[in-house]
Amino acid sequence: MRGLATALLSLVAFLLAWKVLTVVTGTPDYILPPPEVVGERALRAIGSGLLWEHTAVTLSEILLGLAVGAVTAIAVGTALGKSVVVERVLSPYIVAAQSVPILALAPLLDIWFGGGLLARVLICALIVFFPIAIATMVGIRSTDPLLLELFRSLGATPRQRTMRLEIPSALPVIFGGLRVGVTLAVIGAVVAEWAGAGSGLGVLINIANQGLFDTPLMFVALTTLAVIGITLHGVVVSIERRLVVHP
Amino acid sequence: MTVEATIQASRAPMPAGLPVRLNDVRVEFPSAAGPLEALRGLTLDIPAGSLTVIIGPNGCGKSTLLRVIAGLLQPTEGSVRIGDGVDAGPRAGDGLVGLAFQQPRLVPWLTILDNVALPLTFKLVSRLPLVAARQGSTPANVGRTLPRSRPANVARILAQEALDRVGLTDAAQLRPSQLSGGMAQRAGLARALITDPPILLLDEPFSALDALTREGFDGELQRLWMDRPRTVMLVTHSVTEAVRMADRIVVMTARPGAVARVIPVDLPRPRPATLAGEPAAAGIDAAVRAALAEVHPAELTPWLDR
Amino acid sequence: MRPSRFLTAIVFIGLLAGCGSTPSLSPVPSPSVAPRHVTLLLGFQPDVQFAPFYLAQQKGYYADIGLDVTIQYKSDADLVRLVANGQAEFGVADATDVMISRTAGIPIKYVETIYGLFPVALIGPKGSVPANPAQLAGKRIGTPGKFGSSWHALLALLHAGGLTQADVTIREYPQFNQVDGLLNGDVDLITGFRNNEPLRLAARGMQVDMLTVEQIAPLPGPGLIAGDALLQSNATEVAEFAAATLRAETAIAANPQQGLDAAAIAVPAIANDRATALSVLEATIELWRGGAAAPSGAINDAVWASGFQTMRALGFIDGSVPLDEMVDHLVLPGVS
Repeated sequence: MRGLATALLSLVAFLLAWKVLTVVTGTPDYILPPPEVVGERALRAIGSGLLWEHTAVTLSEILLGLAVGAVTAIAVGTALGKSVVVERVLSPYIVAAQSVPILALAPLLDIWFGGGLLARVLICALIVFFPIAIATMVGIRSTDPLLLELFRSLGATPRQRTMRLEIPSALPVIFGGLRVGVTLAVIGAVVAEWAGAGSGLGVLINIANQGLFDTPLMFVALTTLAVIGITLHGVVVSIERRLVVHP
Repeated sequence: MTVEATIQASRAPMPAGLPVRLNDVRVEFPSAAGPLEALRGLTLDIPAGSLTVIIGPNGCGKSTLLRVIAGLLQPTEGSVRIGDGVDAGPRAGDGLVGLAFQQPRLVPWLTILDNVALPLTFKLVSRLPLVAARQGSTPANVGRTLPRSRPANVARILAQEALDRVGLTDAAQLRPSQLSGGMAQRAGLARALITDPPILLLDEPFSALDALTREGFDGELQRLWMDRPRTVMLVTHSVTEAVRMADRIVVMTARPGAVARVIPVDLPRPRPATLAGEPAAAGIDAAVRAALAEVHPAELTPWLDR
Repeated sequence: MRPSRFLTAIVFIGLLAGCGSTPSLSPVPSPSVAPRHVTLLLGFQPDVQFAPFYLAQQKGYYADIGLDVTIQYKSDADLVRLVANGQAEFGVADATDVMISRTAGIPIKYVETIYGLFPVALIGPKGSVPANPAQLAGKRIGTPGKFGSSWHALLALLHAGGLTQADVTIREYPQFNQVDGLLNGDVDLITGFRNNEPLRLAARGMQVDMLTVEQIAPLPGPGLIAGDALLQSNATEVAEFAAATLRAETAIAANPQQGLDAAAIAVPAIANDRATALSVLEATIELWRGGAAAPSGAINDAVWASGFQTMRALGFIDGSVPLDEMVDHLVLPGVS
């Protein structure tokens, strides 16, 4: 309960600081709306169902993108970690894919994969992939060699070694990658939507900003994205607390 | 055979451990500076149920020797035999050899109970007939399977008993980080003993502990072995420990390692920690030190005389 | 009331509108103080269509009225807000966006018409474009996205034909490449700019017809905007700027090559294909004219009123902000 009280207190402080900032700088509502204007606009958007309509789309892209991206990343990361040859062969392509700005790649991917939910999930998965794969690789590589020898002395098969020693041993590092990945998934979904989608919070940002000139609504969309990111991060942290035994 | 009968069988007195025979063993490793010869021409006969101590200068290949016996390394030349069967080469994980290391090597995210039970979770089904097969069966016919009646529970029962034997009854639900060095080392020993192996190899198991704890653990190890005399091979740097524990002390040469001297120790058991003060022990102690001095490389010369 | 110098400017503009003559008349006397630095915001990137501004800068029409004009390029959404907030003095924006943003509380006003004709039309292969918007039902239509003047025009046409977006299939082209969709048959019609897409399609071998809004659902075209704050503090400057811009527009209308040369300095790409740039400029001049002999800059109240009603019927604005707060006639008299 203390954690909840602290969180609420810091939220109130943040809102106050925001309000003070708008008052002190005198910025107009259409550039930086104060929190109560955003709040009122949020209530209207929730009441009309507008916010949920777009949030549901983005949330499904994020969750599916995370699932696809994380599973692939852990599998590839494990392969990279266990074999120096695999790493040498694959890593130039992986690094290249990471270095090309996803904002430039996304429209191409959107066209190649038919411009629907599949394309957006893949774009999201691509953004999520790299940090989790690298974290997994590093985690696998840092398996305690003394434990590796122990497992060998007990007659563990390579599969048993991977599933029962290397991956559990790598979990703290993998979860570090997952924390980063979760926040990137939110960005990935928005980037994917900007490449060509009919609805979603990224689309709502564009509609609010360019179509409706409704800055408070844009802030509502941004806040919703932030809330999604914070919630997902919290979920990952609590799963980590259950699964990972920290010595 | 039912699970209960199998567990009963594991508590039956074991006639003996298995003998270990090494014949002209050579072990060579590739290394950055060219091939490294760790052992050469090592021939050694270990009688079943004896407690042998291996002692020698640093780098003489003591740890390599243990790993060859455990089946973790294949000799480049020569042969290793466990037991009397024709196909008696050691294979890692067949449960005949228990291995305890200098660091406890406990898996950090498992409870102590699960750590001790770990060996059984890899091949539990083949372990149970093994556990029951104390009465003279060979490694070759341990492939019989038993109905899997909740193997996890059987493993935990056996693990708790192993913890009881080393005095860690209440530590079952703790995690390795919560144990002191001595307790962790005991847990590692319990794990090595859980398959009731006829051969137990210990690689400097107590050298990381303080002197008094070490003496106490030596005493307990001696007691456990006297209760159930399996073949034990103990590597150490401590001459005192060697004299107290061993039936025979094997002094190894410097690298490449071979057997330099075998010194029998015929003192009565149980041998107390104060053994070192007695004259009979002193004589053996001197003999061991003399043998070590012969094989030890120049490092041992006094520092100031250069 | 307004200062007399102000009236002088109006008279000059009226003369220009009436005579359509070239700018040989004497400029407004320049002040003897150092020029005031102002910023003009144009949309997206340098383009030959912005020739009047380049010409006015280069020929000193702005300097004559004491202004040192810096041109910057922004997206439409940012442009409107920056002008409202005083971070830029002038901008060029779509009239329909002015209606929406003013209703959303952004304090800008439309002060001068630059495009006498609404530039967006529905474009399709020759012979396939219905004259009656009701016949759009069931068509596949390509458009950049669901915002902006293209979207407003499309919905206005559908509305005039008694249709909604549910009666057609909309395909979005966020990369603004809807001509590709038309060429490869993915869509039957596209929204496009009358001075742009038809030329691009002709260059790729397709002759086209257009369905324009002025007879069916009139909408005002893009124009010059200024912030309320500037209009209150210095309406004269706004009027003079508008006049200078119109002067350049008129000069180019009479002599397109002059505009092309001015634009070529600001838009390096023109050097690669002057012929195409000239075609675009000439088509643009027709849009500025709006069917009259010469561009007048005057705000067309009838078209604005009709457009306001259409935008309200479509739900883009709710009518809470009246039309007369969106435009400022004080600079140019309305043409009824």
